[in-house]
Amino acid sequence: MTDSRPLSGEALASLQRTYATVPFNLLLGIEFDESHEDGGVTLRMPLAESHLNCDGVAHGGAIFTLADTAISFGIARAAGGRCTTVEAKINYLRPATAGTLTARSHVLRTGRKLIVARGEVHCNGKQIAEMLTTFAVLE
Amino acid sequence: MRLEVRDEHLNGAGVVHGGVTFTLADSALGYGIHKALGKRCTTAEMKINYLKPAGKGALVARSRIVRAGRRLVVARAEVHSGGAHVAEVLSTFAVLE
Repeated sequence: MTDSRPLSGEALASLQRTYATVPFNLLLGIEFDESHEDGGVTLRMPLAESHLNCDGVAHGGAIFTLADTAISFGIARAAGGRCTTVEAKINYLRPATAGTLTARSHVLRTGRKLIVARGEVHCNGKQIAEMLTTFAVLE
Repeated sequence: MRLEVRDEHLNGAGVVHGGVTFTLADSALGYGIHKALGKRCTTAEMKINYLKPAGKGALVARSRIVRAGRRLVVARAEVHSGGAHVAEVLSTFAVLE
């Protein structure tokens, strides 16, 4: 698995279709943006009223979900097979009020049982959150 | 804080999406801190460990303040589903006022 190349072409398109049908991703309006040579992907989420908290800024849970989804997509692409988040830590750097959020994932290490990956969330050219995760390989 | 899980809260594997669990815990922490201290806060850092998958039914998050400082508040939360402890959260909140 560590020597495998990131999915591309039809395999990547198939993975995109799978992510596009996840109910919670549909609810939040998470869309595929681009794939990167290093195996990571970028997803985007245009901010709407429903993403905001009582202070009128993007809810931390919405930002977390976008980053988590980008990271798991990148891992599925890099490692193949099913994975699940076992641990995730996020630091919120700035509030985001309007525009489109983008999340870019980077796979740091792919082991047989555990995968470590990180994600960055940007809005209007500024980084608003940093995330570090551990995923377990399910099969 | 409590959430009745519906179809749109599920992931591709048919269990509760990790983002839903995280959001419920974050809300319980923010609300609990605001209620206890009477001050507005924002999440600065949050770490979640997923212990078990959660299915449909009620998802319940319970928050506790570990330490309330002048500028930072450390708090934890447990998320339960059907009697099982499904996630553990540790967070740092910044006091805004």
